[in-house]
Amino acid sequence: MMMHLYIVFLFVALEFCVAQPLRGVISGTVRDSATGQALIGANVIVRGTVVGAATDRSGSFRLSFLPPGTYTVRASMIGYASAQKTEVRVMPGGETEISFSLTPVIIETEPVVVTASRREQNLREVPVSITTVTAGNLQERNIITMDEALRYVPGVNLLQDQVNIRGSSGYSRGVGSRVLLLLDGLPFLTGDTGEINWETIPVGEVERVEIVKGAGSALYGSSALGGVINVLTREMPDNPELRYRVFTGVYDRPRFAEWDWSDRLRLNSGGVFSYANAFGSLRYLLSVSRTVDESYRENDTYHRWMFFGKAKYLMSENRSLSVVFNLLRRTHGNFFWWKSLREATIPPESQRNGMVTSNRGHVSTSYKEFLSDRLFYTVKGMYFGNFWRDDSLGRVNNVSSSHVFQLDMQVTYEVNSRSIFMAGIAGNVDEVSSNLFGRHRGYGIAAYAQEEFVPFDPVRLTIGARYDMQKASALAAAARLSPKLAVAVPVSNETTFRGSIGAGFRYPSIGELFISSSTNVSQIVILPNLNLRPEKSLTFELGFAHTIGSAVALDGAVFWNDFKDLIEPSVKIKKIKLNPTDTVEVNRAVIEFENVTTARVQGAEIAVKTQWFGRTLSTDVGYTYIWPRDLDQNAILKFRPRHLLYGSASLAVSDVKLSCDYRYISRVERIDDNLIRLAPIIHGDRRVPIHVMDVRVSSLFSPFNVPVRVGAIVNNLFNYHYVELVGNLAPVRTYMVTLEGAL
Amino acid sequence: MNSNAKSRRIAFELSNCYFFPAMNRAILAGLCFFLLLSGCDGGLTPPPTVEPGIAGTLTVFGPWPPQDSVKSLWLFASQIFPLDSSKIVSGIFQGKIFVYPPCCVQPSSFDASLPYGFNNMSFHFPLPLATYFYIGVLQRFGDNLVEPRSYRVVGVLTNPADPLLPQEVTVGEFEVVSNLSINVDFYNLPPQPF
Repeated sequence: MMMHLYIVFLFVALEFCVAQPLRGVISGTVRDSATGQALIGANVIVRGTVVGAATDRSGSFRLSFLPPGTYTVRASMIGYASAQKTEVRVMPGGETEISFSLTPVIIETEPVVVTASRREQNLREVPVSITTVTAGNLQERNIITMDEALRYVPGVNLLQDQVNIRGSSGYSRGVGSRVLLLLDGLPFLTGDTGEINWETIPVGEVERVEIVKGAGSALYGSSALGGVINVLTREMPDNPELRYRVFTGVYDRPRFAEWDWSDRLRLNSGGVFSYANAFGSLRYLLSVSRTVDESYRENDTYHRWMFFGKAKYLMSENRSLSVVFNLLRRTHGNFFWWKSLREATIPPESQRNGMVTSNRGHVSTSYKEFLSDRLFYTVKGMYFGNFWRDDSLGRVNNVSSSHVFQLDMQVTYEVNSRSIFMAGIAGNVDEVSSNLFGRHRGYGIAAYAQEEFVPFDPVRLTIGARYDMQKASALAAAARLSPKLAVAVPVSNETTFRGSIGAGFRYPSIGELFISSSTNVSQIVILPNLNLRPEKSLTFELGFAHTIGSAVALDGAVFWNDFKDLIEPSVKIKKIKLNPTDTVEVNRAVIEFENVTTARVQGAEIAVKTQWFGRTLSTDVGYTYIWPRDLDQNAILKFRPRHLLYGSASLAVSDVKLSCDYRYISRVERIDDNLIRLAPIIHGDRRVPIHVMDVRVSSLFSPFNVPVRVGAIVNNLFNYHYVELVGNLAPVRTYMVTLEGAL
Repeated sequence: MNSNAKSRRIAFELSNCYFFPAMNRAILAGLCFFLLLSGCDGGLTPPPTVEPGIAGTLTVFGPWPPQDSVKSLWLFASQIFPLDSSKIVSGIFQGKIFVYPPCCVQPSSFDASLPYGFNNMSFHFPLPLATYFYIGVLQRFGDNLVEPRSYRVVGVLTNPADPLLPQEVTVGEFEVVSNLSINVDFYNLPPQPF
């Protein structure tokens, strides 16, 4: 019903798209002030309107569809100070040319982010810890699925594909996520298990990723318990553009003959091709990507096709409509854990022929309208569908399909230069049909509001709250109020202090509530638990950002996060009726999801970025200390490391760039013994600290005046063997070559 | 820029870097860090062929009970002693009690059992590194796997100094505690823990 209303709304909005008065154009270029080089992918926007564009491969932009008048135009790009030109006049049918020279700055002292407050704001004004990953970072590292990019973000670590921000999450066996993933600002979790599906994100078409550390439920609702990751797809240029990127590589042999199961080197190849163009006031982008990964492990192959499209229609200078879609088909071997550490690259016999097939897709729309220079609203809607099945030797084991509908309407009003008010409503409907979870429907509705104001210079206060009501199937509705209070104090151009306290919660997924094994597998029965309560968190942070000259940027924070009612699967002996008609209860071993843990995670984080000798040498180091405690058991939380140390260095000489990344993650002190016992995972307790170094070199060539960037990458240079998740040997040394360019 | 000019430019910039003392030091520090890392161990290694654990012989005295009353026969090693009725099954699930042949939730493994009818057999029982206070042979005669009354202990590794007490065994890294001898008598049971 909600989706129908939304479609009707869009059609009504399109009706307004009628003849317009004679329009003008602002065009020009954006260049690096130091080198004069054209900047590709810089964002240029006309303030107070929806008109904006990204620069093309020659650094040019073209802002059309503007009524005659006087405008302010702003150009921004991560790694550069934003620049603004005021009093830019547009004449009827005329074209006004302007150019920008952006000054390089230490990365992340200037970029504009949108996730922390649901609006564009300068990083200096943001009262919470936030890190951005740019499209450049993704390309340099040849990132194929988004989770790989997060392995370099301070305070973040992954257990295979489950993300953990500052100790908020352990390993939840594939259900539930304590970090909320957003795609262009809308929640992007699967409807059945409420987990993040990284492969569905079109990495090649991403402009940047923003990672907010700390509870974000006051703005985004359920699942934003430990943080929020917002993936923003890229803007499109006005001129035709064909981009390509291809890569191929091989996995090296493991260090030990026992693990060298294949008689040949295993390949990992793929590519993405995209085409963008504009028709009048309609811009569009289409891309297709293909990945074929033979893997370093047996029965772990990965084949993926993905189609992505985005269109943006400027209905007038103050109204725009965007549509984004993607479709994905993937087949993946069923490698859950190793046979034993002695045969770490081979799965147990029971998994040897298993295969998971997934079909996933989403379509989202976004309508934005400026009612005045200071008042605008956005309406966003999304459908996200997932279907997967796992089978073995032609026999289908489990099947699940889920459909998620999201709607979000937000109004933002700049009351004056010292106050911004924002409010909105959101809703969602989830439908699940699965042999594991049954047939269920979930609903959610929420309202949120936030006020940012300057009570006295330089203090910027943010007060906000969100009220969520969630209901799953016939269960009673659960409601939750999530307030937040935050302050940013930019005491000088070099130094900003910040502090925040906020609440988070996660409503249990349909999977956790209703999972049930109807087959009595080996007398272990998986029971639904309809009494699960939402997980809750309260996070507190104090931090600062400081720059020293133009060479050093520091960012530090201390944090204190309390978690209550964390949901975990419990194994126990329980008296149950084997059949509903039975009169006698018998003892059985059962698995149930339960609210079992109260936890406290305290810690500190420091990140230092430096640039030396112009921009020839740059370094980036982040260290996070985490003290995660299970208060109920007076023990360290499972699957949380205490120390994270990430470092990277780049040396750029002319068009050649040499880079390396290093990751250290201390040995996880406590794991889930039941997981090892019940699976069983032989040698599942074996783990070591993680030391991984990646190196890469890339160079720009221009054969026939067509720029081409060629790169070579060696991941896990020292072929260090480790596990992130029990029983899963991490990738061995990999050699890769990449080729990319634009026409 | 043609390729020669480009090469010259790269060479010039590199030489500038090389002769710039601070840059030189930075690169040298990076190289030292790199060499330090390259000297680190390689992380996980395959375990030695011989698994740590216990080894020895099982000897059955007297006749065997009817085959349909021996649903499973397991060698067990427990880190818990004394046991009570509630701990035998939960101990297996919690990883405090280990059984051989390996037992888990898979039906095939629950069906796994020492062979019926032997008089004498040797065993090698891989175990995690720990001290085991109670080692013996467990017979399941009931159908219900999780019902403590389905089990009975039919043999115990006894303490040579006091045969009424079980012998304590500590398994160390790369160590197989061998020459253990466990006697089983289905009609003359040792003291039952439950």
